[in-house]
Amino acid sequence: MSTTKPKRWRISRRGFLIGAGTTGALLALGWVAGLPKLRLALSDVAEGTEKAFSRGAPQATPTQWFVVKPDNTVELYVQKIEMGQGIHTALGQIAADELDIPWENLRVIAATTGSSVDDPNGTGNSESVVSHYLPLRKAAATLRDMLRTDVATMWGVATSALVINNGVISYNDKSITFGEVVAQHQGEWQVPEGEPTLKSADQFRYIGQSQPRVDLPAKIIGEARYGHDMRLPNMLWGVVARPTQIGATIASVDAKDAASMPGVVSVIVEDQFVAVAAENKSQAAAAIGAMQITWNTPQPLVQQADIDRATTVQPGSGVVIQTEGAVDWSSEGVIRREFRTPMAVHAHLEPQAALVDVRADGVEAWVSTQVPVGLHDAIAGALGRDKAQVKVHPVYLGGGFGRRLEPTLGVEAARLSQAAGRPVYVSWNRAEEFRNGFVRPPTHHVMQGKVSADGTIEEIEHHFASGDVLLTIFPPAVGTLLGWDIGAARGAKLYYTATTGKRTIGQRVALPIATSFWRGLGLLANGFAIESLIDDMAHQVGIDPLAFRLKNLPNTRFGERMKRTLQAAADAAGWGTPLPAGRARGIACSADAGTCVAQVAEISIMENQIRVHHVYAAVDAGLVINPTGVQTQTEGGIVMGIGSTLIEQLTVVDGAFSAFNFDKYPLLRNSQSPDITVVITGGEDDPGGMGEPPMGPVAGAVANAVFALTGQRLTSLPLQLPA
Amino acid sequence: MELTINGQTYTIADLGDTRPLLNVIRDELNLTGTKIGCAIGICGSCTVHVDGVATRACQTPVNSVIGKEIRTIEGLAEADGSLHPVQQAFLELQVPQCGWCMSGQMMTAAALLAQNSAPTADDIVSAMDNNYCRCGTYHRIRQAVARAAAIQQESNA
Repeated sequence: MSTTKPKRWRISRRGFLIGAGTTGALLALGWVAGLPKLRLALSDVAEGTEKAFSRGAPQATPTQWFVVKPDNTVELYVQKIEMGQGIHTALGQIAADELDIPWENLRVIAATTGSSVDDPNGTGNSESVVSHYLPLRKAAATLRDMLRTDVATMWGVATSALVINNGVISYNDKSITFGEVVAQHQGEWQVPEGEPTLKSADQFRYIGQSQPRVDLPAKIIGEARYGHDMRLPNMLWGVVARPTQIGATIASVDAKDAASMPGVVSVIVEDQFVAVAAENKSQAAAAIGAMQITWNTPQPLVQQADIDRATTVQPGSGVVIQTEGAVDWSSEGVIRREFRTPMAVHAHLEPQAALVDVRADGVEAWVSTQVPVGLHDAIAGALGRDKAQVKVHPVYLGGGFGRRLEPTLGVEAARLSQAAGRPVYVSWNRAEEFRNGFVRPPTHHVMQGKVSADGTIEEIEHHFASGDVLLTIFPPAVGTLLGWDIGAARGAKLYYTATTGKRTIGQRVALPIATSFWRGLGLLANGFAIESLIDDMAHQVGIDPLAFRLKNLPNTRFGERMKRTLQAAADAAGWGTPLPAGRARGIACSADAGTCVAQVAEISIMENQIRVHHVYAAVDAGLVINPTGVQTQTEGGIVMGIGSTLIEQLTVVDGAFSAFNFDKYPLLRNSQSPDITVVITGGEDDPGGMGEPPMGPVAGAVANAVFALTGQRLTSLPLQLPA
Repeated sequence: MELTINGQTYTIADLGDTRPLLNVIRDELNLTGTKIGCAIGICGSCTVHVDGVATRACQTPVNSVIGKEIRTIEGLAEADGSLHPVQQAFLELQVPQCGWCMSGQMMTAAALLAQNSAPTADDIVSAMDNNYCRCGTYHRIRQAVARAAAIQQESNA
């Protein structure tokens, strides 16, 4: 992957940077994009307590670069990781549109860290398009204006007299391509003053079109390189000793004759890090196997009952994160339900891998990671190297889902490479992925609601308990100060109106198991609990669940968007029309990352097993960059959500996880996966996120369909009918 | 020992063992288009063709395929680069998301179409049912395999 980019830059105007040494040869324009609001908010919190939190600090390194080359191609360097969500294509469309260049002239390039593009946010939180939409357009428009101004000077005409179309600048019968402008340019480039004028929506050429994904041609023929595919001549294979029991640490190591075994080049036995690098993987594994490693396993052994007990809402505890009016649960007619969701693994099909080459003159790493900058800093820190000497080359990810947001693996390979003096490749196997990573935290929810006879929600409360999600990446003081986990609270707040009062309470749960990000964070679990209770309330007063939602959503801009989205899903599904015997529909909705999603699930039950036949989804993601991208993210979220709704459950037995491969933890299969219809609604607002929002309504829609079919309210995931 | 992969002969070390074909393909010959997922024969990411039959490379001892025709994703397109109907259809319907499982999905689909040029919807689901896709592209896979069958029929007509 080519990563030639300007190595130095100077700031020419607030937020914009011009590559040095680009006079005449090419034009490089970089800019610093804003940080996501969530990260800024946490940064504010953290800075009140301690300075350890540095990842969210504003920084002056560009997050993106454009390079216009004399051959008329335009390179867009981005560090948002392509993991199947189509982000390279979406960002490319935004850029090509505002630049006004032919689509085929654009190259989207994954930018290496530590050279000139550093995006401290990593890729996640459904924020890539959200955070880049306007900054990217402004940068592209600025670049376009620079080229136009240059031509105006060259030809001695007014800038306003020049027309830009499809990468060509023209005046009467004269025309010149962007590449030719760059090739003919003399002297320094100037960034124009003032805000650039952006295209109006009716001028869009690529935004709103289903441009084909830029990464698919290579993926179709097996040439796309993922982290696990990386190889270097002369590289060694690393294997790291890892515990099979939860929380186990190394008590003692007798390395025996591991160092002299065939093919072994390097053996590391340091505190809690025992690893071997050898000429091939089986030699490395054999050497680890020959060592005598004694593990300290926490006693008593963790049991599932301990986790369930800990993950339980305690009345009076937790932090009130939303409150309006007053709630009183002592009165008559209150509906109270408890919901549970289990631990789950990410099950990205590409096991993690890292190839790191530590040399005297620098460090290069190819790692399956969602956070190249975080990994870059971690490697530099672990090796005691200057950050400027480390380069992390982004690679394609075979699924991310939040699993690749921490840097352990790359650091392991770096330490082995440093010891061996050769490049070292370390890959996890499936058992390591199950045992030695982190999991989606288990949750418990107590929902209470009160509804009037005419179907008006009077009071509603959501009290949830969850293992940590987002707090795991911050210093402990942040968690102590906040008292609740913003990640676990994704989708937890109540957006229905309540005439008397509503309240949401978040409760942190300390668990003996590593928990953290999983696609949507708390969204799936919270959506399940809230949308199940809403359904209950509708049925209690005998009102159609769609009508009940429409009645109780607020008359705000958001409420109107959600109502329209619900109606669109219902229309697509034929809500209210007769179904064949044995089938039923359920409806649910949720909002996340600025996107409203509603889904209708159509199910049946065969031999006591729930079968989801079709999901009809409507999505209002604001302005849609790529409709096919919105559809595929919706489809993917629905299928992953149905896996959690019907099948997935990780449990603990005697201090170890119950599964360490797909034999004991199956994923949803093709035959279990529904047909899916996706309707795109809205579009007036700026783009919302798409990677996670479709996870929100799935479990609720299916559970509500089960209720419609059987009268049974299932309250635990995975949904299981009583035998 | 010699292996025939995509019509090309590769010499590999005869270790007298039964190391998995997958390890040889990915780790010794660096043909990384074939993917690894679970290594226990469940997920289907490592599916290749052995004499035209969709086969789990992670469960196939290398010494059992000596002298057989092995085909991987790198050999699915024609030598001139023209895509196999399955590849055309997967591209046309924008099926892959992360793409990791897709070599296995496409090799499974190609083996199905070689055997059954007009598969029914049930044939497709049943043939594709042992290939996991964590990104959740299943319903597009079903559509794309049907489309690939149509493309194949058009080109044979």
